[in-house]
Amino acid sequence: MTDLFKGYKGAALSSLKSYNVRVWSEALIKTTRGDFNGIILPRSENDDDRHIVLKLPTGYNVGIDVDTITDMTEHGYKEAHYKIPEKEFPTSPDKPNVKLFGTGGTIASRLDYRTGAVIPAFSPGELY
Amino acid sequence: MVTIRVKVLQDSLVQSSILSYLLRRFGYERCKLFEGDRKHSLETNYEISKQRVGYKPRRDTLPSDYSALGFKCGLEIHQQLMTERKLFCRCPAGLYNDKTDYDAEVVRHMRPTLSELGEYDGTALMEFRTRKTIVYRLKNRTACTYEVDDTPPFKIDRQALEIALRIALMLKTNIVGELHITRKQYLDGSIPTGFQRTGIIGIEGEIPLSNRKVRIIQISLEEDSCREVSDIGHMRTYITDRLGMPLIETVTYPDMTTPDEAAEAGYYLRYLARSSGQVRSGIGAARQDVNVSITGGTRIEIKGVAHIAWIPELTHNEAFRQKALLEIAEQLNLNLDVARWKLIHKNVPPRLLSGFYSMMPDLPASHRLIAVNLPGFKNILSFFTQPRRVFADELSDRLKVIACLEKPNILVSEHCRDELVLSETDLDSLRELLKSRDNDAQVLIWGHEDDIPTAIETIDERCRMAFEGVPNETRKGLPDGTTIFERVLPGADRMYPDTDSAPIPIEDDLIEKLQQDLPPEICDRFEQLREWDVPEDTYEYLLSKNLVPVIERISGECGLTPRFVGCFLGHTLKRLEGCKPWTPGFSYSKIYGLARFVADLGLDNAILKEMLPVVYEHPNIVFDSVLTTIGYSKISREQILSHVPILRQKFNDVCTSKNPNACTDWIMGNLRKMALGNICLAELRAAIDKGVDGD
Ligand SMILES: [Zn+2]
Repeated sequence: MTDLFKGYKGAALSSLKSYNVRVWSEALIKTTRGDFNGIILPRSENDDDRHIVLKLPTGYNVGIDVDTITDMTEHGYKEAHYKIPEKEFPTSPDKPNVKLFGTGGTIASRLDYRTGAVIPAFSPGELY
Repeated sequence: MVTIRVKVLQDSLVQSSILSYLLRRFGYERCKLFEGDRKHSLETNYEISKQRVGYKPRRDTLPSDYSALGFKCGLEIHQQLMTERKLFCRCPAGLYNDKTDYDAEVVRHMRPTLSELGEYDGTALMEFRTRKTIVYRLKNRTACTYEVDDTPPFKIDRQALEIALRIALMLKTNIVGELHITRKQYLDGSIPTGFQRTGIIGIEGEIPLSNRKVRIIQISLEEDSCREVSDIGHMRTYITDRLGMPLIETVTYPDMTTPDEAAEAGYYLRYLARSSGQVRSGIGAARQDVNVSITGGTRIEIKGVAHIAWIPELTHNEAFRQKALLEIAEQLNLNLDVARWKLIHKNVPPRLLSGFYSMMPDLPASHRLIAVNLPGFKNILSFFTQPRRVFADELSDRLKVIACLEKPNILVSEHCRDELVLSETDLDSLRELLKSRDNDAQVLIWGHEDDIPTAIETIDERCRMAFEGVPNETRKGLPDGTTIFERVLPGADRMYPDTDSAPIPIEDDLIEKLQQDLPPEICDRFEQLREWDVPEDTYEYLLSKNLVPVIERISGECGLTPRFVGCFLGHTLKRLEGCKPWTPGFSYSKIYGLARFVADLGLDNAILKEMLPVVYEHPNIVFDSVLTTIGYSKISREQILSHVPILRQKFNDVCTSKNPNACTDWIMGNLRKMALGNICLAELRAAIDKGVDGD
């Protein structure tokens, strides 16, 4: 069950549940500040429990204050996974192995919605 | 993955002289008309195709012509905010260095990264293909380690956030509950990190124009980019002083249906931002991107339009360029099948081309000459695309940007602008070399051998796109109203959440506080000026400088009519600004002080127009001395009028004019200086006319 509401807790989680709207759904959120349309994204566990994250059709993300929400409806569902495309990794048996030590950096990483941070890209195919 | 080299520069003088030589050598090509002498029929293909497209100058084009084209236009307006600091670091905002004044350089190469949804962006890939070395010039005073991504962002500048929110409220947008900072990829090099930090403040607003409402898609708060110093071959140089300064971007829906409406919306949005009193003005402080499309065409983004006044001509020409490209596609598809279409290219042996070598005798040994045959492209290369531009320019512009071949970079087989045309003998040799057929067109390109594969790819790609119509791209507007290719249009796949910034909640309390003192709407400002009977020729000046509140204050507190103050600012002050920039120390409060001074002394307000130039030049002068400087002395009404009979006598003795006003004019001329400030000039004239001569 919690998997449908990735990262959400407290007030934000109850709000999503009460309107029966899932993470990755396309939703229309009516608020006291006007209407917002977009895809509900997971929220970082480290952020507060008062906002819902929405990806707008223009590609930008915004947060919606749950206290301002007057209605929320789901009209689609589109799960996306951030993934680094793996390329076939060429190896030759006659050459010695090489060890790589990852020292961080956004470019050599992929996004982790759970923490809102990045985790290192790890497979040789992802790095290639 | 990013290479960095820092060196302290010692030889900037040497560099700048090389630069100026290169600019002279390879700068913008001449915009010469078609005076070519190839002995074709009198009516050139350029003229024939221009007629086929139905191109008309803007002054002859009616709104119904634009609706027949399906003209649609939207704007993206960038406006710098008046803050003390940059958006995500503590460097000062608004300080500019000379482009040759810097303490260090950083060198970088850009690489595309994946978007949040795991895709590469087209523009990013194109930029990667150009294999550019990017050099950043840094000055300690205006940049720190944040700008080059060696330090994570600091907390967002609150001043910038509040100004942006205030303008978002003025645009009637829905304000977000939480500001999320996004990284937007920019691989053209204009940002050293390869991305811009940006976030949405509000969505879905509107502004009222005279004929329609224009809807706002969104307003965002973002960092400004670097200023470009030069872009030659594989090296692009930027200066970082402007980088990171806060700006807002307002994006409209494509609701404008004529070029004039687009300009009207541009002005409205500018006045609106200025009326906040919290944005920057001056060169580069506000820039427009203009999106244009027609039926069957594509959304083309004309970037960085410096003046709103340029928008009508640029959008007009872009609409017809799209029409021309659609005509080209129709013509090509008539006889050719794009799936089987294939260009042929050959290395051209030196000595084969006499005409070319007389033009470019010193081509370096590393350079190659390539002849390209474009099957079925006869009369396409010289096909009209814009005033003084043909399809061959579409190839040439892309060769410059994507393959880094400096212009001139192409010669073509068809009659068009002189500098693009192959000589007769060279053309014959090329046709033979390529085994061309009658309906084919030929181009000759040259450049460093490493750039040639990309160059051929670029020509192939652009020619294939011609079968489809209008390629997706961003273009750069030129002052003559035409545009050139800038980049492939970026998609939505360049967004990535900024993992270095936490979301920033936007509380109801803050919105309520800001809502309380919003300035009046611009449409009400227009109404106000009309009510005051201020002449219309001052509106653009008064609104773009946000002077309505200044008029209100001066007229309200100094006993002047708003119409007088409107003219005083919109005519007298504007004229002074036209001659010379503001002297440091001069301000609108000086003007207020001056008006107050004149009112307190009970002087007639016409004297303000004589006093203002002195105060403009010497802002710290005591107002009493201004009166001395302009030669004012206090004289009573009676004393002034007492001169009239003598002057009238004098005039009648010498006058031969039949003009009934001549006498009054001449007497006024003689008394003007004495009267100024002491008596209302209109009143004086009436008195002279009536023959009331003081006694
Ligand atoms: Zn800084």
